Amino acid sequence: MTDPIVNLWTAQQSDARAPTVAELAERAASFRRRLLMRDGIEYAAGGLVIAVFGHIAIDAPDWGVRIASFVLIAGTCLVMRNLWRRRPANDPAALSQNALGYYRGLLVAQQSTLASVARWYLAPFLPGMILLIATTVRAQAETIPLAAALLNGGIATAVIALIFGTVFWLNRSAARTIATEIELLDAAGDPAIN
Amino acid sequence: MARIESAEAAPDRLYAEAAAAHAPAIARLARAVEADADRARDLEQDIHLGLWRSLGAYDGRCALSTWAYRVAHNIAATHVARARRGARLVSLDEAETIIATDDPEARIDHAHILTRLHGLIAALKPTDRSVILLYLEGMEASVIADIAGLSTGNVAVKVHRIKALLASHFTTGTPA
Repeated sequence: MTDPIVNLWTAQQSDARAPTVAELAERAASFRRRLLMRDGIEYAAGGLVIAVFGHIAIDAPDWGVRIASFVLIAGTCLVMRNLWRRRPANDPAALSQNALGYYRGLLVAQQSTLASVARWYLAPFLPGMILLIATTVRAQAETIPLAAALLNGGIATAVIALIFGTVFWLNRSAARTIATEIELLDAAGDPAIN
Repeated sequence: MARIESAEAAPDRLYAEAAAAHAPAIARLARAVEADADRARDLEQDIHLGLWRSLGAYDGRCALSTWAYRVAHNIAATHVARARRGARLVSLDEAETIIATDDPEARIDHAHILTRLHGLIAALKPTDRSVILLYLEGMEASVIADIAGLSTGNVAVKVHRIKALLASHFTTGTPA
């Protein structure tokens, strides 16, 4: 005998209409446009950073600043490449996995991206920033006392370390939460445990 | 040429077949995981789109209905993971703690029962959410296991808990 609540549940939306193939094709095109727009904004931001440091690399009289700008441009290009490689895979067939396997895969991908943020997102910017700060300290030391130049460099380093450290900590913390969820999911999938 | 046309037409034909059979279940799934009516309609359309696009890879190794439900539940899970990032979700074992027990209206009013049931489903962890939704669609444990990726024994235990939960908190007469 069917549970009455099953009857109550399945009586909802019994007249739901499926979209036609033409409507789906239109939605797919709109989806592609949205993706293009999102990617466009992301890469335009990277392009802006490259343009600014490209201008400095050409115009700056100091060779140290020029080299630091080129290294920063290289770091930005590396981060943009990493973002491209880590964008969600567009594989409609993957959706046909069983729900547990699919959800676990989703969590593993998110966890990997967050846990390795220092390597693929933060580290590429570091050499350029260190070079830029060192070059600025050296240039300042020619006009102000060395201690004052070192203090300025120290403040700049502390601000950057705070920003990078916060990004790293937030991502690591989120990665740990997801890792715990994966462990619980694995335990729940085992009939002997649950 | 005829073979190419046939290969191109197959996903459309399969989609038409799956959508005709499961459009109401897809609509119910979308409304169960997304409380906002407009976003639920959007999710419903996204599920149809995902199903249509996925069917190009359908090889008949599982039933078309199993494929359709897997795609639908996976898109719904992705939607919930994005929309409710950081929310505390509970397992079926903990579900008792989030259901109000002193609600006399809940035993007589069908709309009220469904609202509370939606609340319960929204608070469940993804795997338990899939199992209860598939149970409510009237599926057998073996079919639920195939879609959810759990053993039949595990699903049987979960279904037992679901039945007990529904019997104690969502009792209803015969629906109109």
